[in-house]
Amino acid sequence: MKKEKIDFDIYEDITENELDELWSMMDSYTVEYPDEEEIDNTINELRQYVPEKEKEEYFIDRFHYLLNKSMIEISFISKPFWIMSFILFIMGLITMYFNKYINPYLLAMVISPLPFTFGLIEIFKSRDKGMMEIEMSCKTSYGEVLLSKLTIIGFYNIVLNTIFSLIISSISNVDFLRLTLIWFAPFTFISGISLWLSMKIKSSYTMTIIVSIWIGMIGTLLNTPYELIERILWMNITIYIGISILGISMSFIQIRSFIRKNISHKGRGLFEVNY
Amino acid sequence: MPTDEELIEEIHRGSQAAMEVLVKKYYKNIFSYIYRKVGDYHISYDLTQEVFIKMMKSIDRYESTGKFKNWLLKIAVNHCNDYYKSKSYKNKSKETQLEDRIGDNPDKVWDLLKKKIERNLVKKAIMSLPDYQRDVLILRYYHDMKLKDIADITSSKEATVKSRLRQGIGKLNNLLGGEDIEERKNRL
Repeated sequence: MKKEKIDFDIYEDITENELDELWSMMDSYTVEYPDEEEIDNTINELRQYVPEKEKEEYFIDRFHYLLNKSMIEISFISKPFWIMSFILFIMGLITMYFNKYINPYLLAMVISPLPFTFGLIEIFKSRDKGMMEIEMSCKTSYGEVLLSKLTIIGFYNIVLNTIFSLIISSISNVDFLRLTLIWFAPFTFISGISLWLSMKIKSSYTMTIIVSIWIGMIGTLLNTPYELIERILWMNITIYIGISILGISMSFIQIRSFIRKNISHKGRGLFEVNY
Repeated sequence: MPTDEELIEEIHRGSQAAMEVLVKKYYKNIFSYIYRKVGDYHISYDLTQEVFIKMMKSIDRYESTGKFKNWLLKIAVNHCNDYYKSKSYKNKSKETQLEDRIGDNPDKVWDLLKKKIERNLVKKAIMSLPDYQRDVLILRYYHDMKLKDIADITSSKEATVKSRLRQGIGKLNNLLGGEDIEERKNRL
């Protein structure tokens, strides 16, 4: 009891023993503190007094944070995903190289959405294994982990598709821009649908079903008269752009609703640095 | 762990997380001061929230002196003083006097554990001190603050703080001293 010895000279009329006794009595005056929920209510009340972040700075911060987070998340994505996606494109290239009769646009269209669909299994595996609550209790929220993984897998898919298009356009003399649009439209559309189904059905079988449906659709398409395939592949570019916008919007809506459901404090910036 | 000044800088830039960290860091400190000053849980909860609202509203005026805790405690001390001058306190005070008379039934008190009785006696003794003595005592004893800092927070001289502390402790010793708990209770 350091302080009372220092202060002792102040208390002229009290003996040292009396003072010791008094201090020990004062120790019994404990405080019953509010629980975490009540403290959080106060914090939520205070949020309105925090100055608004400047929009530009806010978006730059968010972007940087997402990039950093994605770099960390790369190591948590399983190797079979990277290898399987890569092999899929290599097989596509080999098929294209040895079979000159295959339509390169059709091949790009078939392959393009598959890595992202496989990737969704990777993204939702913690939820399907019941690990979501644990991830949510960690320093980084589950919403952040999900977005980081989506960014990596989406980016990886786009890179693979672009390389694939570049190689195909160089070996089969096709229009690169058209080829890009042809794979981009189903890629965004199927990604949007896959994401929507993943949010609705909490099972890893969802992706197996989507892949089966997609392959079934392609199979049906291949059995239709060739003129119909040609028509689909040579549709007006604006239709492909429209499908792409629709797919991107679907993905965006799903991600937004997921974040709203899974981030407890609406006022708190999603990518704000946690202390 | 970032310093208070770094957190304040972040709050200026609009960081909700920095505000959360800063409030959580000092919440218990401020609450315990207010609770020991007013002696009522619910009022203390409301006053603590108001102190932090005042903190947020005037955080622009905080000069980075490295003594954020003292600055915040000063807000709490002033806010409690305002509360004691308010109508709501005066009304509450009349109600409490009535409740105290009803609650002074010796049979009920003796049913409580010794520790709880002692806690209540200390609480009652501290609450019986004049406002300015209670402030000094709580800040010195429960918050382990230096006399110089207490003088700064309560806007008074160090000699005045010393004298208030001496008077406060003297009164507490008169009220709480001795072995007989019943005797102490009667004194209060």
